Amino acid sequence: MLVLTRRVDEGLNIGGEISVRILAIDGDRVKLGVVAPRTVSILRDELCQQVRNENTAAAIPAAQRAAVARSLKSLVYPANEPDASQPPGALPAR
Amino acid sequence: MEQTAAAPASLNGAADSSEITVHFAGGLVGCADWEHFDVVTDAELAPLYLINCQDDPSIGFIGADPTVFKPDFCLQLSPEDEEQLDYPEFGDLLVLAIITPASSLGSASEPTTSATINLLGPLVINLRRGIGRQVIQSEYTAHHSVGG
Repeated sequence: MLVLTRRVDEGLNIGGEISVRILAIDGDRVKLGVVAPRTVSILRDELCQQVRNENTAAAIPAAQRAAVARSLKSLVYPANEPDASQPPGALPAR
Repeated sequence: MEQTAAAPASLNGAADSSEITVHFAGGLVGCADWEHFDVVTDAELAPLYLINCQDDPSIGFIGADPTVFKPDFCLQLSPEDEEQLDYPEFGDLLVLAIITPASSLGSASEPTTSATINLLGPLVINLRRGIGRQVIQSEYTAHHSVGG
């Protein structure tokens, strides 16, 4: 990991196209400004971490997957719930 | 939706059972090794989908259209997402949120009593191209309650 010390109003450039600037520091909070091409996604680390954790938590062993799905379906759709008659593979109606 | 002869089998037909192979370039968020999935549904499963990882057969998920559980769910694709998905038309898209069962893991005999659905990181699939991407929707939770 590259570690740099910067002051307010200083910044750094990454790969020529991405620039990060320290806008303000207030106690343990640092306000950053990022300039990057619109095709570059910029996400808070903790969101990525949450999704990664949830991906791992949601994984179901192959041998149990179908059984868990049946169990989930009856949990989510108690008998005679109209939504249960939705055709298989229907695209999201939005 | 218009289909060309070269289009892969899509999941939006009226068949009793349908399956499509989807490539998630770079894998899922934080899980780079999980790139290729078979997405399966049939009359018994619908509206749930099995999402089976080809790269690691022990890995797989159960997913569903997030609007089933949160009717006002609104997907936002960034320019990067759209590029990665090869600029899908609306009709090409299948959106699946992954369901996390609360109590079933490790005991197949015990019925699932509650579950949450991950609206923070839904899988977005371009059915026409067979490619997908897990996109982060920062305004939604990873633990939206379903049933129970």
